[in-house]
Amino acid sequence: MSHTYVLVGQPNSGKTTLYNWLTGSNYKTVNYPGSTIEYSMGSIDLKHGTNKSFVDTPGTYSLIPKSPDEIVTGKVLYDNEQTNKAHCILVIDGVHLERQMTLVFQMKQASIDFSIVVTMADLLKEQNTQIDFAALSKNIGVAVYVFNGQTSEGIDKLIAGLPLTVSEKPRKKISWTYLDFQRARIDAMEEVEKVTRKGNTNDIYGFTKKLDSWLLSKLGFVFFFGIMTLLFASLFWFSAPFSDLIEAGFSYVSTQIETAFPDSFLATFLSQGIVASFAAVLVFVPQILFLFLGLGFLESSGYLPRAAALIDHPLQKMGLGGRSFVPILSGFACAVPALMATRNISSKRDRFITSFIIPMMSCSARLPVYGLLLLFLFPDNAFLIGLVFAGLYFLSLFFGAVASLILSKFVKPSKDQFFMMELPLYRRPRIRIIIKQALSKTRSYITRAGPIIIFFAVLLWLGAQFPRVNSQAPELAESYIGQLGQVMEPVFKPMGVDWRVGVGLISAFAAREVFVSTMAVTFKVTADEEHQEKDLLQIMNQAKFADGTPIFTVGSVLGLIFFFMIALQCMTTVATQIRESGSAKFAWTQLIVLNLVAYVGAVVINQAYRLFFL
Amino acid sequence: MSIEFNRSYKIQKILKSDQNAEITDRLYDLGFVEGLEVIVEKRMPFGGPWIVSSTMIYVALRDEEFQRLELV
Repeated sequence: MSHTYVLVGQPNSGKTTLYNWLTGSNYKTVNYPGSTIEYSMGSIDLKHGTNKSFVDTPGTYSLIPKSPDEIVTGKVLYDNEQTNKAHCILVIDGVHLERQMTLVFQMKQASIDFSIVVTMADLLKEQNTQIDFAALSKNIGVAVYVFNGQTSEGIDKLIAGLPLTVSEKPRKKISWTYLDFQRARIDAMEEVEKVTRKGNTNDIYGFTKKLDSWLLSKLGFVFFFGIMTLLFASLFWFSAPFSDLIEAGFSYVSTQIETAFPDSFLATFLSQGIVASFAAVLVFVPQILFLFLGLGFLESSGYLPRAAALIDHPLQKMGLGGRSFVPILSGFACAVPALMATRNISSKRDRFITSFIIPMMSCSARLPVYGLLLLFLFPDNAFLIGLVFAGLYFLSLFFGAVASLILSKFVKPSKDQFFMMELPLYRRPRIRIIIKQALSKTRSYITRAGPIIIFFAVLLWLGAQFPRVNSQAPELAESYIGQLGQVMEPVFKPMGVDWRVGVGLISAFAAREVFVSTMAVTFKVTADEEHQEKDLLQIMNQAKFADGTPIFTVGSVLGLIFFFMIALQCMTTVATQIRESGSAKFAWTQLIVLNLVAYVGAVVINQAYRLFFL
Repeated sequence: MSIEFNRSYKIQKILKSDQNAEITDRLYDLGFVEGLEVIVEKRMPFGGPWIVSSTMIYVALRDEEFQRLELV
């Protein structure tokens, strides 16, 4: 029989480090049945034993939840049938024992059966503090273990001591007044004093405070922009070769299938429908993985909470807060993990506004589209394109800020708005754990976004292949998708584009980057992938409407760029939004509003250009 | 009261407000109680958060959060 244990602890207590040591790589994300909540569950690393699983809960300062993250922990402790009787492992940061005792008292009051694991033993040593854990255990009546997160020392003793029975005592929900906190503080102070022996204490915060005097000064903004620029630039430097490799790999497989079975519909379906759809999902994996690695590095070093604190005031002026910073930053890779990261925002209002603007951030799927359109505007000027590219990032932030400002005028401030960001010690990042977590998050992206993108990509491909004419694919204009494009042409025309571009825009609802390959199909580019872009550009330069006026002008292309910047075309994002916000109405409203604004903006840009420059 | 940096203060009172009661509750969660000694380390540039440290925590507090702490 397998036994389940739940890890509970305050943020920065070292809980997730312990979880990673306990489970090795045997963990997965589990959905809480019937709700939007998910948590991580893992089986014990086989080198430590069998038949035990662990649940990692989001960090919580108290058993009285105040943020969506803390509500998840509450549900795991009280509501979920699989975990609401499980023995808990309360992870406590030894350096801040006195503060963390509050949670010990709350757990006891709630009749939760638990053991304590004290982490940061290395820091206690550095600080020259000795704690008599046996005495602590005796005094509070709970088993206490010591664990070193750097070396995993103490893990075997903990595992051996975990009880194999569950407590049937019903758990009580608690509510505390100020007096309870005051009493807990006095009790904690007395308790810690009884069991602690301090020598000549070293200030372990010395280095941290010295570094903060630079990183959190006015100069801190220069460091901030420097670090962020480096993060984004390195995404492209590091991921480009991997993305190219993936693309080349899939392209090779496609060609092999088609060569092996020429004139077979099934083979074409496999190569152009299925394989190409998988490629559309996987080509962004390197970028997403590198973003998570970069974020993991910044988080593990202790910088991320400081960046959030630094940017809190400017973000407040836009109707947001510092806690929105990380989700917005993640939005530059992909809106899906970014929306999940909004759980750390306590304020309902900030969470609402942040979730609304995240899809406007220039995610990686937009990059190939910008690449093509900018090449049209600035042919043979790589330097300028690079600059405009960077500019588009900042422009998307600017549009996000405008949207946030407008929304903040309509949404009343909620009562749950607070920032209060704990600043952990700067520490050497734990590369092993960073890699593991980045891989796990990337896997979660693939399994979440993949099926939806593949479904729509295959559907669109089939739309272009039917109805069959003499068992062959029809001319695009005759295909279902072509017919749809023509029916909708009056809608696209004010944007300055014809039905062929319209088909590209519709196909972008599978995944934005599909726009480029669809354009290659609708404009009948026959070159191989390497020369596709060049040929497509040439054709774009010559493409004309029936009356002879050019389709692609500066106006229509600028309009298209604006459209792609604002429009919400990603169905995975909509699905994630429904799950995360718990409101289908919000997700659909967002879809309609963003696409409408994108469309109207594109039309205005194109018409203004025609009016003033043609 | 003008606040000096790198100086130790005692929390005399934690002010409550009906407007955003959760701020006070969260301050309690973080270990801020009357009688606690804190050091106001610095304030972040351009009206940003205050950095406050104690034996309990090293934390960045928004001005409205910091103002709830009546220091002497």
